[in-house]
Amino acid sequence: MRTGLVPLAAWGAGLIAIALLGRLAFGLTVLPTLLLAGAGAASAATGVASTVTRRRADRPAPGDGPHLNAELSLSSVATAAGGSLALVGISAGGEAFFWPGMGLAVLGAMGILRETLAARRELAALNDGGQGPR
Amino acid sequence: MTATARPALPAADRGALAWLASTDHKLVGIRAAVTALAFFLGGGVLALLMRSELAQPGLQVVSHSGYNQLFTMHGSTMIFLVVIPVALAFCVYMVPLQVGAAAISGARWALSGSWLILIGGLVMWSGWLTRAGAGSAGWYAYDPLSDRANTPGDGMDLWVCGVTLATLGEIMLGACVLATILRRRAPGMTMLRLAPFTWTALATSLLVVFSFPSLVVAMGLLLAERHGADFLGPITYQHLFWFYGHPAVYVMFFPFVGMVAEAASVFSGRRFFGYRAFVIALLAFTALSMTAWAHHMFTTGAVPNQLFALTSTALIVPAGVEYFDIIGTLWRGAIRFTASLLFVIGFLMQFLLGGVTGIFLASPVLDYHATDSYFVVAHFHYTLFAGSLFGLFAGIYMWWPKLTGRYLSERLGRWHFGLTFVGTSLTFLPQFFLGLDGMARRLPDYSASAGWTGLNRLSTVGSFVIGVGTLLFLVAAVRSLRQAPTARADAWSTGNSLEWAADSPPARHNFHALPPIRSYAPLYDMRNAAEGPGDEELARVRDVPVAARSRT
Repeated sequence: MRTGLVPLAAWGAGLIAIALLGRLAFGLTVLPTLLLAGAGAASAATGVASTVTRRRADRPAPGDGPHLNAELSLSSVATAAGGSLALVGISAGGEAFFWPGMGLAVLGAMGILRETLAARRELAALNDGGQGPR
Repeated sequence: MTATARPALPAADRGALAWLASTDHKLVGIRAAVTALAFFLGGGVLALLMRSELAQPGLQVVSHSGYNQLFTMHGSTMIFLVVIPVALAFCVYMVPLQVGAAAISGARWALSGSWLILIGGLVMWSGWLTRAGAGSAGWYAYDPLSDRANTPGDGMDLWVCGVTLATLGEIMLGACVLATILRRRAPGMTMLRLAPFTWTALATSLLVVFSFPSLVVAMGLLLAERHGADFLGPITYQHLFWFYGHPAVYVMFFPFVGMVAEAASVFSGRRFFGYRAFVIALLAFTALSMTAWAHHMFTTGAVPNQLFALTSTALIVPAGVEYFDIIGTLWRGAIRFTASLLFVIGFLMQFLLGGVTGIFLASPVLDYHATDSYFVVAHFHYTLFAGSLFGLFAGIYMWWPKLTGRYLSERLGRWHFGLTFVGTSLTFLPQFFLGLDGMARRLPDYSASAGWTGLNRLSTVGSFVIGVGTLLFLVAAVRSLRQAPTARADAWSTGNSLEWAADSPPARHNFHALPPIRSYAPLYDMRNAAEGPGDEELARVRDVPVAARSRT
């Protein structure tokens, strides 16, 4: 078992089988059947996706690779805080919370985009300099 | 083997900014765990208030409305903000170490997720500041009890908002753990060489990723209903809630089983017994745990009771296999009775009561009698408190040197274990008898003629004993953090999985080098290799490159 395909697909298949059993033999209604079968299908799909992406990742980077995560990411914190504030605005706080929250979340998202682009540039520079993964 | 040069990035700033915004999975995990600990203390105080109210009939420590808020916020805090977050926090900290990765997948998501849990908790608790008080419809907030007509006030809206935020944060943490296991394993780390704890983390993250979104949907619909929409029926809500709620019970169980498995292995000096059976049982356990949710709905008459009784009862088979494996690991081992191992034994004894009474409740006939009684309260506290928390403390005492470089006092640890064991037994065992005698859960008061005073008083005394035990743990933690770090990489000299090859505490990118991975216990293999002792072997493999596929 070299990838996550087998456990995730087996687990997903198990959920789908129990959903079908419930539907056909026990008269399970539509909503619970869909919840169960949907989770099973999503799990199996995740297993397939992870296997495919891991194989792709293995090709250019079989060994050690550079670390693209920023050491600090205030943008991620700002996005979480802004999104939370906006949700509080929707729930109970009103517009006084919603709009500042949305503003902070958008600023945070832009910061994450900037961090991601900077990391890609860094990776490209490392590859050009011969230190990157081969 | 030759070392691969790692691109130089600035070392993590360990100052305040790092605690705020570091993407290091270890800091993210510690922050989530500290957040959970803070809410644990808050939720514990709420529990003591409730137990004080019930110590004898006629007491009015709080009003009836206040009591509704207490049990709602106690349950919500312990589940949404304590046990699930602390389980995920340990997964976030330990999984990259155990799979030999330099970082967690989606580090920014993990960082945001940990903040969402903290903010969600603060939003939920801010309900106390509103005129109508905090949420008061119970931790599962059944519709229509939780709609605006029956539970008016902003406090309930803030509760819904807080639950949504915390759950979103938990989904993000779970997704990062899942992606790390699937995509960042070191060379040689096949799925069947994952450490037992990592397998339980995989099971946990599957449940989180594929069942928790239904709670977000339920909360969204509930919020819409509280603001005028009318499309959420009681049965639909209960299906959506319990499709989250029952798997959540196993999210609060699997990682702690993993900790117990690791601790049993470390403190018996043996490889984990029955590894493959454990993995198969765990996957079956995970699938069954997701198909048993509607046993919470037996009394609605709207679900096929036979199906859910079958899946719920079947859970005892994989649970039995896991128990067998843990006991098999201890059997004939070179056992060291550390505080961690005492908590392992406590877990095995206490969780058994919680699990077996759960099988009683899986029978619709018995469930009809016991539902919404103190029998159910006792059952789930034996699983969640007496079970999960004993597993958690087994893990904390074992991994504390890895996390901090320091040891916790064994003497205080034994007292902590003793008080917690006695306290939980005094608190929750009487509640089985109260429930069988007809005492309904969530009662703020009872008649003196009911004959429940003695058992309730015992339960109240027990809750304060638990409180004293928890204080002892805090004292031990503070004393330990004041000492100089002394722990070696393999702090107990009998570690089996990869985290014990990293420094204590681990460096920013975890490993200087990885040992060869030929089984699920690579350090055990090294210690028992013919060519020499572990430290020399470790030194010999210092040039093995660290697997760090770090695209995010």
